[in-house]
Amino acid sequence: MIEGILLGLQTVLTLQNLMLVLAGCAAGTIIGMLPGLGPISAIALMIPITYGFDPSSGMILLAGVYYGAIFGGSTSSILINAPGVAGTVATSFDGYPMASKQGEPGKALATAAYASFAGGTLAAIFLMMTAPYLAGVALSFQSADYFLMMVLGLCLVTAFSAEGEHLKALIMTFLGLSLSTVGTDITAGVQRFTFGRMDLYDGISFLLLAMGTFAMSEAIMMILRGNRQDRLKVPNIGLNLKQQDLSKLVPTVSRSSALGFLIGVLPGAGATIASFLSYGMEKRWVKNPEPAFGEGNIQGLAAPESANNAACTGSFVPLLTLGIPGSGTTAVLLGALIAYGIQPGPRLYVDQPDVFWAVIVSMYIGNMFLLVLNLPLIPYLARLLTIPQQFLIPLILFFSMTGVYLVSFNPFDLQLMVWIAFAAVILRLLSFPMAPLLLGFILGGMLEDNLRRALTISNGDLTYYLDRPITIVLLMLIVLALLGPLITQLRHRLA
Amino acid sequence: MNIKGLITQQRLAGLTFLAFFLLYGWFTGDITLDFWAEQELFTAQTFPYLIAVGGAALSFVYVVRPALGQPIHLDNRTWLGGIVILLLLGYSHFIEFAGFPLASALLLAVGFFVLGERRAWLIAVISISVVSTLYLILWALGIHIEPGLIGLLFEVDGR
Repeated sequence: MIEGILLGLQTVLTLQNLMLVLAGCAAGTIIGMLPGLGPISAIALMIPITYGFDPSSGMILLAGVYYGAIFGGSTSSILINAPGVAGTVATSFDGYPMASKQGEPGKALATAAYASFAGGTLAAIFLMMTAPYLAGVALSFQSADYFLMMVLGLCLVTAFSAEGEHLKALIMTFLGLSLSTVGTDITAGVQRFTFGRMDLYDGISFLLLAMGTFAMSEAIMMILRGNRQDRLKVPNIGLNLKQQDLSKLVPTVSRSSALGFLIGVLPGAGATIASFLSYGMEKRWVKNPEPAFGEGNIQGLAAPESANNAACTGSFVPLLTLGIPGSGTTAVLLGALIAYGIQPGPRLYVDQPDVFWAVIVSMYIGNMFLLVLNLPLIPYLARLLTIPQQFLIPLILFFSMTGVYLVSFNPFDLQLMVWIAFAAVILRLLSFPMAPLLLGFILGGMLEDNLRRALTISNGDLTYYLDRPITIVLLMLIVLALLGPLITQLRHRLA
Repeated sequence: MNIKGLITQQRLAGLTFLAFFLLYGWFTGDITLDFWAEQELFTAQTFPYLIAVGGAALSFVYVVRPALGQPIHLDNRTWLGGIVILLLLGYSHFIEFAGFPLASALLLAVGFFVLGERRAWLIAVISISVVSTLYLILWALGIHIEPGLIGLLFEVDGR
């Protein structure tokens, strides 16, 4: 391993490759901030540029773009409650309230930057030490385990709801699951709930739903709430975190990075599940949070940020060691590797160790550059919140619409998004949470696929779920997650 | 029995959800299945049926004992929110005819005006500059957007 790290350092620490890391991080951050352009688009846009470089350099650039885009998506999630990628939805739960309600956008962005850096760095270290061994563990997870892990994630959705509103959160989860079934069933090839509209054959896009339920509905809620002053009070754009904040962050980041990395290792699990699970875990772990989770709690922001970055790193494990992309983004990276004439898999570690270790070492250096690049930008980014509302709100609405339009160039998507935003506003006024809707939507397709496979493998025998220790553990966690809030309520009533 | 006390906004929301999931289950039956689907354990209808049953059950429980929530009150700002939604719907229809640049500039300009900005020069400068900047960035990235009416005027095809 030491030789590998030294080989990686030797490859990365050249002027050209260092410049490529820097350029990748910068380009990724800018593209990630633009609505509608997430990591997948950012990497796809950069691939043609990398054809002129050798494979190590090309992968170094693309890895930098990947992290930069994730961080860029976090910025829009925090500042305007517009998560452009699924992995940054959980960031908005506490990031946006910290930036807007508490008037601490600088602290929110800095916390996200530090948490991302720590998560990515810790995960890069884990990756260095465990990549070849973890590949075997990843292979031991079967469809039933994936299904139960996703059900666990959905059950932890009660963590996002206020006391006594768990039922609303579950209803919204099922609403999200129902929306995920719109479109063409991939296995059977039949249309579901399209009502003859060709625009719905591909289903509802995640970006459309996220923008409608978060960014647009939040902008309209700002109109409904109104402000006596049309300009927000000058927010605190300071980046400095207090000692007590740092002491809270250290255990949070450690836990979330480990969880995020392990989940990222599982093919198909990805940053989204990692960020939601870590948020739920943190919410249950922290006693007497001040402020409460969902009101701008620093641990609530740091947990999903470090988890999603760690999961991004973890997703390289199946890619590099097995040749299996762990997420949509790593699928694009796999395409890039094949275009370079490299076949990822168990032989990559042996046949082309320079590529393998260069990618791993570049992650660490990329994380450092991201921090160095973005911290000076934070005061300028934070000033976005000082824009008067009569300008800020139409701009948010415009960028939300543009983001969706850029994906499909289909006016039907815009109309659908507006109606979704309208429904979301009514639901928010009735105190229905949006996050479970989005999580149910994101996981619905994967849930169905894994359930289908699990039932096919077991020939419909549900006791299959009791055959393996992993599934039994996951089942127990699900029961705890479901019963936990009920038991807490019962205890409060009896007290 | 206090009828008015029974009919709350939360219960109406619950009934709406119940109706939605029942309808969802109803339309699940319309999903076409292949002739061999009868032999399959898991079909294109299975998962939607599970969702319909689960969702309807939860909604029913919610109707019977709804969770707490503040009732919605309508005021002037509610109508302002409604106007903005109509503006967005108008944009989504107008963009196809007028093209991205013109429709977007108008959306921003009207949006600024509706929300209280009255300095015409500022409205024009900001809306035109934002749309132009975005259009240039997208052009530099190689993303083609139909210029629409503006393109016809200046004989530009957006490439």
